[in-house]
Amino acid sequence: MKSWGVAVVGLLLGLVGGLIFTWFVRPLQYVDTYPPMMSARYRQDWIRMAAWSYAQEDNWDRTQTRLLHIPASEVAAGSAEVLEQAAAQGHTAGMLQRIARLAAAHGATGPGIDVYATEGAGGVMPPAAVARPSPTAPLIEQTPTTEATVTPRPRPSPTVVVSDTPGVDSPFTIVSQTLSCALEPYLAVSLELSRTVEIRGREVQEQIGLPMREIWLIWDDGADRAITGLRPRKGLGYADFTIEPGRIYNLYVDSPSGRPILTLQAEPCPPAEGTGWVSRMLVLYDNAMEQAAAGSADATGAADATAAVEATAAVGTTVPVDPTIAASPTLTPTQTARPTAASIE
Amino acid sequence: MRRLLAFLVGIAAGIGLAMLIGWVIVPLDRQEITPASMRADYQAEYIRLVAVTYQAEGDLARAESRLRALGADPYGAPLIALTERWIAEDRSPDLIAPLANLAQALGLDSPAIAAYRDGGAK
Repeated sequence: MKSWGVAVVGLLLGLVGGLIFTWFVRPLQYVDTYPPMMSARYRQDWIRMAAWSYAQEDNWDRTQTRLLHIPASEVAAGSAEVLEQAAAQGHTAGMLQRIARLAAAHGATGPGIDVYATEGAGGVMPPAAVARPSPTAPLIEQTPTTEATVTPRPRPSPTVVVSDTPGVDSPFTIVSQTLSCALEPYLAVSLELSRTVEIRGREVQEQIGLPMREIWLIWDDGADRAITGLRPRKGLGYADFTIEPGRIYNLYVDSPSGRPILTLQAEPCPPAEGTGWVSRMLVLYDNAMEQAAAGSADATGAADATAAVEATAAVGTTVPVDPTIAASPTLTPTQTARPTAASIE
Repeated sequence: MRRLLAFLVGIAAGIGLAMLIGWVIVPLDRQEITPASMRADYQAEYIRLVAVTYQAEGDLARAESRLRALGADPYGAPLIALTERWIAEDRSPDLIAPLANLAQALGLDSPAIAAYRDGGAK
């Protein structure tokens, strides 16, 4: 064999031996890496933690540094997941807004992000939603896990105890209550603004869901809070809670103080209506915003009102009010203890 | 002699080529790149993020799992070391408190951390 042939054989032997060594005996070791180099699941975790940190500390520059060189699509997906989790856990509106902004800044889209990332989404953002004080401890928002099993229908003699209807000076009005039978009792609320607008010379009544509002449910030794708008498909003013039978609940909007809008207690459905618990869907009108909107509509005129209607229709925010239900439930006064701040978990 | 030299040169070239291929061009990615491989300053940031996230999520098992990803034995050693170092450096309570709270929740207290917590922020 000639010299070059021997060299080729040596080359092949060296190549095979070297590859066995570099791939299996002593594979590449990564040291002094940084977050973008981490395996996907750790990188996702890093993004999630950065989003949580931004939500709490509101430090944009530091967050951007943490997320440097990580693909925007991954940041968007991770932030969107954190937003869902934060919303489900009932974190403050401010935290939700920051997470949504982070997600939106990296290209994430979706109804939840649209609601929170843009102040004044849908043109009906309540001013109180931006800088409202929040409780120091996060409260768990409970959502119903079982949909109503019986078609909602008016009940002539509801078994739910209801009391303390809002007074004449209350900023909120219960305009309808839809009762149903569900395996897990729940309370759903749709907070809306009702206003009259003029379209081509005709007065039209419209309802607009109000997102980013806090709905409170207080009971003897605890509280739950939900923020409206987390399920835009059900209406921007929608929020819901699971409730436990035997407990007396007081319902509040914005803050758990003052006179409750409603006091209620879930009781079993009548045997004729199947098994389960009486659950209810409330539609509340915000009178204060209604008055403000009316004043605004008067000032802006029909052209602006038409534009507002078109904008509202585009995002699908209106929630139909069931006129057949409004007068159905019998309201029975009940004496309940007034909740205090100390009773909030 | 000449053939032996050619053989050795061939082997050396083959090994060199294999190193280039195996470590640079086509490294066999059999291992996960975990937080344990991150530079020290990023690991400190990671620990802080774990603590801050625990404040919001309230998921202790998840926080423990994240700390274990650092590969330390015992797993809480980096958390305790960082907390004690920042206490010694008189860092802001905003930085230290989440770490101290997480250490306490995990039952990883050290005398220095307990003293800091009992005495409050300086």
